[in-house]
Amino acid sequence: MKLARRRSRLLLVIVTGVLGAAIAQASFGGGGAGSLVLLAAGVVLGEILVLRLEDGTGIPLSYAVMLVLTRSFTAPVAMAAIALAEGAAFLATIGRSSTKQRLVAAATRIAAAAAAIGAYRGVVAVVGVEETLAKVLLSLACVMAAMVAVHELFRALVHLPTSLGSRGRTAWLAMVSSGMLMAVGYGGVDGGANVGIWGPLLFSIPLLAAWYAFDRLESARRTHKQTIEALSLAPELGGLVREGHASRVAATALAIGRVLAFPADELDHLETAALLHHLGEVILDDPAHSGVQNVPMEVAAVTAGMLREIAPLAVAGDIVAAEPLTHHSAGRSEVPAYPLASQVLKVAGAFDDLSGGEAVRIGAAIETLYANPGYVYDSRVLDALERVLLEGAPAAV
Amino acid sequence: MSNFPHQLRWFTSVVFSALVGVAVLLGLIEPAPTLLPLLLFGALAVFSEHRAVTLPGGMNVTAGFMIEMASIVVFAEQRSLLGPLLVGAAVGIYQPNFRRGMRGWLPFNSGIIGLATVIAALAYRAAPQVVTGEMPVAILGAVPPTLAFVAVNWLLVATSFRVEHTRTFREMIGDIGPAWGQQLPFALLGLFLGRLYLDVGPAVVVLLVVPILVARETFASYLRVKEANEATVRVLIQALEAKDRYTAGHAERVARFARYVGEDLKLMPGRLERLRFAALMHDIGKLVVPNHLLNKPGKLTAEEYAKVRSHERVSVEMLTRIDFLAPLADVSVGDHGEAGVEDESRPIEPHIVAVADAFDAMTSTRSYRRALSQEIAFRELRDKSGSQFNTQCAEALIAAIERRGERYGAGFEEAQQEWAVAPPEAGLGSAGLGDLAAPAEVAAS
Repeated sequence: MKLARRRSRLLLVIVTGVLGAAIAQASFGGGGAGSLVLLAAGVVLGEILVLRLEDGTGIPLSYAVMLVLTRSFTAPVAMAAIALAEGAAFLATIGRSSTKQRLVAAATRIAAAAAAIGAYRGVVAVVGVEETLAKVLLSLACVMAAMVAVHELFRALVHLPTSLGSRGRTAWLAMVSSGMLMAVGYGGVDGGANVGIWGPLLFSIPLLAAWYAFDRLESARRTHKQTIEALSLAPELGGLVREGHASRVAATALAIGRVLAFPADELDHLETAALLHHLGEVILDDPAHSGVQNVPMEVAAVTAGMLREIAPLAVAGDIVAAEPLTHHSAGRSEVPAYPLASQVLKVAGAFDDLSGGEAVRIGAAIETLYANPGYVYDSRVLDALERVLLEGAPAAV
Repeated sequence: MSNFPHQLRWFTSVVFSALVGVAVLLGLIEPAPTLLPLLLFGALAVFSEHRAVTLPGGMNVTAGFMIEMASIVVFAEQRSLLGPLLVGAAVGIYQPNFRRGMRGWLPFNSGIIGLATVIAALAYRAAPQVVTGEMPVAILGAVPPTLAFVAVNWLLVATSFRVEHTRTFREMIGDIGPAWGQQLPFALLGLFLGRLYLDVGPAVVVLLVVPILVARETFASYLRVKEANEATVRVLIQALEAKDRYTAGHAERVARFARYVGEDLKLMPGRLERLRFAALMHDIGKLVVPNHLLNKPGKLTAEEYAKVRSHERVSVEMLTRIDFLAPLADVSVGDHGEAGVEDESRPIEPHIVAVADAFDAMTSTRSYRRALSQEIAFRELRDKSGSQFNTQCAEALIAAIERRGERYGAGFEEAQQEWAVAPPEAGLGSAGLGDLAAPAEVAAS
């Protein structure tokens, strides 16, 4: 079923490609037509091959090919080729994403192409016809900047976060440099260095390698995240904690962490710590059998011991280890200060124990937390929790 | 790399002297190479060696040959062989090799790569009319230097192994093919880089290096995340086996048997990887089974048995949360004792894990009985083929173990353990848990 759909999609791409070739041949003739069709096919392929980012969105490789089209073809030809290719890509990606997403993608790319062509004409008008490498690179950089700006604008319009985060910047860097190299290879500089269509074909190799690396990284990151989420379910599937406890505590802790302006990597550690903070329960013996309730301190120590053995999770282990100790430290100078993240985890955990994820009990829960002596819960964290709840209790219920 | 072995001193002296000799000779008879490309490509060669990526298989991938190839093209224009020689020799400059005991590797690598590069440059010059031709044909220009480079490199490295008495020529002949396949794409890129350098200028070098570096760094972080996940699964399995001391090494062995079967059934590497994870984590639900039940000697009551059995449901519940294991998780339960084990429309992996799990359960000592012999385990796999086990998987496992000449089961167990209560001798129970409760007891519950 899935395979059949994929095959029909492939067929669609091939048919569109042949049609495009025929149209190109009929309209322009000559030697440029074959290259134009190949480049348009490159745009279609570039819509399917996407540099995947952390937030599930991506940057399509088509921008690099669009740079070549912008530089080496007249405005109407480039525009027509890109529009046609985007139409084909719209059809070829049926089933991969929603209609709205595909429409936004096509509109973004067509607008980016228009901006790119406009920017290119503008730069050429200012610096004159390009004949040196410096001028070529300058004009290409301006074209690329225009495309990035349009891409960002459309993302903002559909309420997506910026693609200029740390991984996104790296992706754009690879795209810009590869695209420029492809464009220089295709068109040459001042008549020299013209390797034709072989330029884009060959210099797409590093970009394809980057795509592969981004794809692997994103899959591995997702699998790792899901492994941790699966593990977080163990205590509740064993009936040792309330259902949904781990995910609710993680959501609350993350929200508090954001209010307290934790940096991104600390938020990651906090989330892992919150998801796994009860894992030790399943390692220790069943309280119903041994007759003694597991001491939180012991659970935390066992959990932390496990996490600290996994180098990338060691910080999360530290957060878990310090969680039951935190109230000893507040206000006492002789005891070492524990990380604020541990206090967040403690408050988020206690809040869920009291509210049980039920909206009606939120008010009473937060009052109970405030009613504790000042050294039990950090007041900054409690205030942050209150702010989180006032701003609509995101995912806390 | 390990410390520099003293057996290679003579060999290294000869190779490095040859390099110096050739360099001096070229310096006397040739025009001197220009400084800018020499410094640029030399620096890039050193840099690319320091940014090598080690693949999980242990293979080292660097973009070094791309730089060497570009320098061959650029210096061919100046009719200089000394340029490529020096760029190749620069590859040997590797910071960790400056430590004590490692320094011998510096002239060793410089000598071998330098000589291989200069021969590759000669091969490039030998076919000039093709190389300067039109575009599709010009690609062929990358072939002779790559062949020459790989051949010389292989010959010298193989000789060094021979001198060191670690590997023979015959053993190393299989390395040539993969080496050639790995270098050719870099050679093509290098050829174009060189031509663009000549036509356009040094700026293009930066444009090519940036995406390669991005790909490299991203791939390295992928390997790190992958390793983090491996570590997570490893620690988890340790925790699991700490709960149930009878199952020490069980997950690893099931993963090994599953690999045997998977390789026999010619699964693709991606599926083998998924199979390995599924096998390692097949018992993950046991995390929720109370410790005293896992370690209880002898029979369980019906209620206890149900509780132990619940781990299968929990395993499925947990594994379906992991996208790439989900297709395997939801079929891993309910197969025992039912028809459908030969159903080809469903993934084969759960059947592989079932067979591997049962074989290891039978051939290791559990709290409820001692290990069975390998012969009895094989017979049990065959008897239950078609009903409890997938025939193809069972036969593949038996064949793979017999072919390797490995022995498992009574008398061959990896870890001998001390028991508080000695497990009983009797009991068959091919699914590991099958004879935990007498059938009547289960039926009664």
